[in-house]
Amino acid sequence: MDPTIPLKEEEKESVCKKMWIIGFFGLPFVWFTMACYFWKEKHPKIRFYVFWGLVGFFTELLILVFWMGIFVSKRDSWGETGESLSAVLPVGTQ
Amino acid sequence: MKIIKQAINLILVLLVFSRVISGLGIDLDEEMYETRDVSTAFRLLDFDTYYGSDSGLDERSGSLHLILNDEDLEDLEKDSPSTKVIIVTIHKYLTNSSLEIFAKEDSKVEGVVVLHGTDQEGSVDTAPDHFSPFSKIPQQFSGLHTSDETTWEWNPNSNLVFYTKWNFPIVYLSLEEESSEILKHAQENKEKDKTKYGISITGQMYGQYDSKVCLRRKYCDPIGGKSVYSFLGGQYNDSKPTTLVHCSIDSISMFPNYSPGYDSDSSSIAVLLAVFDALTDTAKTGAGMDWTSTDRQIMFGFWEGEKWGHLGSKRFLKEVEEFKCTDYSSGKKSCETPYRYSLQFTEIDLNNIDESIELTQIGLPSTDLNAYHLYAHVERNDKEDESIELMQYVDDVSKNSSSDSIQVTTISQASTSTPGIPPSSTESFIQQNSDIVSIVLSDFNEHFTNPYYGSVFDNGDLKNITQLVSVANLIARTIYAKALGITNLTTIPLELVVDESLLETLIDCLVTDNHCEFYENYFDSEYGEEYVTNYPGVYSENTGRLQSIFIRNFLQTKTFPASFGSCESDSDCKEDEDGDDIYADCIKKKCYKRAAYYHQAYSQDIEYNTDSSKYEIDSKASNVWTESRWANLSCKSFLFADTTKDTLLFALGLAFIIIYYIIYFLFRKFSIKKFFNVKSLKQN
Repeated sequence: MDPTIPLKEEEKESVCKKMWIIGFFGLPFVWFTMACYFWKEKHPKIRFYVFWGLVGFFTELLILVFWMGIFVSKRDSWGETGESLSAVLPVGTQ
Repeated sequence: MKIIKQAINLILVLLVFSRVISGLGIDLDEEMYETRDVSTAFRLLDFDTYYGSDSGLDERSGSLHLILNDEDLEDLEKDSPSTKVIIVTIHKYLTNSSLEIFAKEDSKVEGVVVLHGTDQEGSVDTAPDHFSPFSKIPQQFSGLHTSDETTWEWNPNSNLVFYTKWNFPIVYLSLEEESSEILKHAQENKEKDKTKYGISITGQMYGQYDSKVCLRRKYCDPIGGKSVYSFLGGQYNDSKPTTLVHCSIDSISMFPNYSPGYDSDSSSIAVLLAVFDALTDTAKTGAGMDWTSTDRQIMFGFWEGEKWGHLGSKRFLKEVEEFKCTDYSSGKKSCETPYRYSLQFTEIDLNNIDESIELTQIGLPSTDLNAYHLYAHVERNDKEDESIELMQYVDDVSKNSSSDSIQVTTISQASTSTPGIPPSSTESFIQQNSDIVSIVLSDFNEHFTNPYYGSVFDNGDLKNITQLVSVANLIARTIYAKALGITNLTTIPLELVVDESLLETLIDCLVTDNHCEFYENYFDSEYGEEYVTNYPGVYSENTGRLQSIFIRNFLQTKTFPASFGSCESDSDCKEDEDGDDIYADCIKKKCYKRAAYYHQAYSQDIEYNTDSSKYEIDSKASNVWTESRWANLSCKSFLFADTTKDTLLFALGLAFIIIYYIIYFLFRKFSIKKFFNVKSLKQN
């Protein structure tokens, strides 16, 4: 979808709604891009999608960063469960 | 514009030139670096921690900094050097205090090279008064006295330098094998107060935290090998009382590839093999000697991996009691999983092994008595009195033999201040069966007399062949008397003495020269390096150390010297000349009837799980040693960049280019005017 080609008004809402739904499949960055495309729209439904999409995006980002911090610092102390959660185990001690 | 075009042309010419040069096969790496053959003190992991040196992911490099005396060390402590350095030193400074100075944050030390050997001027790494990096209480956690109240410091001179973690690499360089250039470079650096010669060391150790974690992650492997045992006469009788005569066959060192272990325990191996040779020689025992018809059976045991927690003896005892084979080979003669080529050990009845005589550290002549002398240690348990009787029996054999002018050692009981027997394989046997009557013979009384226990200096320089011959004669005659149940010790044949030249050859092969000619009788090809290492190495089901193979082949060919048929491998020796099934092995392309058995030696607390392809540790384990896997062990020496020289060269090169251009332009103007009669250059 080329953002430089302006959409007709009816199409805008349908595209926005599709992006809103796709974002629920664990894809917060879809919401972020949706917000970027439709930031300047005034249609109330689109504004609803954009607002709550951004909320969802920032929440998921926060959870992701939080989880990454815990995983990286505590994975070694989790013993076997830590290793089963890891895709790559660093070698050595430095 | 023209100048720019010419500059571009010049650059293109240089590029083509460099491609041509590289096409000629000039490797820049080879030009800059010279590889050095060093041995790393790699990381070893125990049950809850790890020890040893590690270079980390990056290459560690620095200029060579020599430390051969105390002043050098003090100078390093006072002012840290201007660039990163790699210390070149000797074993005298391989102590915790020196290494702590090197490990300080601002010391700029990137690694340590320990030299050993002699150069033209003499010995570089002279042996200090004592150097023992290992425990003060060896094998404490797998032995009999694990609690603090009953432990005794058998090795009080230890400097414990093994038990620390260093985050820089420590490597060993033998001046005899690698050249003494590193020493010369370091000396030049020191004399001229420059940083001209440098070295870089890489060796990242994969192992992390401890054995449990690294075995799970497969970043390390358990230590182990193959023990050897044999019954004198070549046949096992499960109802005869049995005397076990044994020793351990491995030794340790900070640098595992260089652990000769003369006193501990290669001298014991040599003595027992010479004893076996004498006892299987009918010229010495009498023509009618039949070891299978004696009242008492004699078992010889050579246990591998004892220094790493009694690996060989404990696993042997565990499997004789309870061995489960999950996958037998056809005919049930071998087990495929876990791999045991011979299942003879499942027939052994441990209750019949009621006596044990062990040799440990018997190689050094005693200091406090003039004659060749050994101490007999007994355990202070219910069998103490009977063990003392066994000692007295050996003592009687000694007295009788010396009155017949045979060279034997004298025996006396060791001091009663110690808690019992020293670190030895007998500890495993007593733990398994406290009714066993046992003595442990050694050259030390209350504390190890070997000042170099567990180091590269235990290399046989202090050896005394007459001491070893005396011990061997005594053991051979004791075994003869024991097996036949002799009470009149004067009937032991006078000819029953060991072959001194054989003993000397065995010491040479087991301690100094891996490629000795004597081994050719027992091997087809040259194994391994020339230097001897008695470090067991990483456990592998199918292979064992060269020394284990030698011991098995020696015992087997001495018991049944008549070979039959020819073979390429053991599987060609399954039938004898009459076509009957027989247990036999292929030694030097001939089949020999089986008389000596291997037994896989690795920790009794781990088992290999074929589904997950990992070793799993028993939850009750307390002592599991593993060796870390590593990447890219290498050591290269190179010349340090000298900034003044480099700047000078660069300035010279730049000046040359400028001069070239000036000459080119002047010449061009001049030559066109002269030779082409053109008035000016204002064209194109």
